[in-house]
Amino acid sequence: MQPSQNAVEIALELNWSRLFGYAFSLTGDAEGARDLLQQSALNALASTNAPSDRKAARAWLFKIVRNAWIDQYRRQKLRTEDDSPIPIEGGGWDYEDRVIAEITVRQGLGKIDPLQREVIELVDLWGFRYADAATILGVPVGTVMSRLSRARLSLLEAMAGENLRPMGFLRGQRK
Amino acid sequence: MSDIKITWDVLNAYVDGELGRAMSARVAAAAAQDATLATRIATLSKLKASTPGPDIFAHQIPPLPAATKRRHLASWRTYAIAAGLILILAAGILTQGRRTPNADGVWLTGALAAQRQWINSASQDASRDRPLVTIGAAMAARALDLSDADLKLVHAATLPAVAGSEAMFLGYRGPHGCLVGLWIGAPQNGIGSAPETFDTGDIRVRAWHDHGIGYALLSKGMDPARIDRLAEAVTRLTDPRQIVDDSIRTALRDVTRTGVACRV
Repeated sequence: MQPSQNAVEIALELNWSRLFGYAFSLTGDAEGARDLLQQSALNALASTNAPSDRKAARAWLFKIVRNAWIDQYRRQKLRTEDDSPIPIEGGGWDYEDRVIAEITVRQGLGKIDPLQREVIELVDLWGFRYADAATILGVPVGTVMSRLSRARLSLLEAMAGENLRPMGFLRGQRK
Repeated sequence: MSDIKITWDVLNAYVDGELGRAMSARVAAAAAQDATLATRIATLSKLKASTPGPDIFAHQIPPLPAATKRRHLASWRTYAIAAGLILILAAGILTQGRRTPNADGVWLTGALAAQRQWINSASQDASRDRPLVTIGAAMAARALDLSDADLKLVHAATLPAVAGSEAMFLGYRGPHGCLVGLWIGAPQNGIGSAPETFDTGDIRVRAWHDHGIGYALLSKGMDPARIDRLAEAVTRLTDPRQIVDDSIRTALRDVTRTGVACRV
């Protein structure tokens, strides 16, 4: 066995549950996640350039899962993004902390663009730094930064919708 | 609003700890003087902390592919069997066992009998190991996987009821032929949540209880320090609140580096 293959096996073993969670996030169901993970593992095992560093290997595996997902499910979906910074000044701040809870965030995540949901999950759920998320997504760090900030804005907007309020919460006046 | 130009992107990066020290300090200073900015940071922080994980269950996670399982040779079907048995057993224990804990020593007699019976019936040839019960396609239960400690699950059986309490017994085989039993049954009088020693004759026993279920590890010939370490790691696996993570796997791997190999 080649050393790199051994490194892949170790990395797969250490990250297996997380990778399944990520695959589940991408596909939305357990069956699809299992298929995606199986394909991703085969792709990883076939590779000869696995990073030996544990953190780097984790990001590398996430990237492999994502690429396999793109191959399987999203070949056709490419889009351009507006990377211009969003100013803080101006506009009303409509988002109240009271509506932010796991349940409403989960509902909100289901309503936003999958690309935006993905970057939120990579950073907030799986704990990747911007640089690692950029590696996984195959984009510059600046794109991660702008995509993430837009994604959070979209999420807050989605959560501000009538049907994403926690039980008993009365919507306040928007500015 | 602060007189410093702070964009929404920068605010997000601040919450994510992605800004350099100087820029971070500028944002913090601005937020200290600007309640609106501080509110937005608080909202972003709460949003970040509230991101939920996917709704998945352990049984949905597939086994590692074959190429990564050189040290994980146990039949996943056996794990599924064991998981099913444990669920059934746990339901029984939790509805009955709490009210009628085993009398002192009765559990130990049953556990030792199960271990001796298994030792006597187990083949010396590991390749002949077969699960005693077969259940269909249930997915593997990682919670029972001791393969990181080089212990392969090869045997799963329910035990006859003793003193009104049912129990089950799992058998694991080590790479040198060591046979390790895990008895699971009603909680025992006087036994705590940390493993305690109940060595009897040539069989080493470590027993504990967790969330209303009793456990006992049994082995003939295992190094005392090694079975202590194994019991400590298994208590983490049997804790229903515990997620099987890298630290548990590391603890299981450490077992093989503790004491000397099993003498059989």
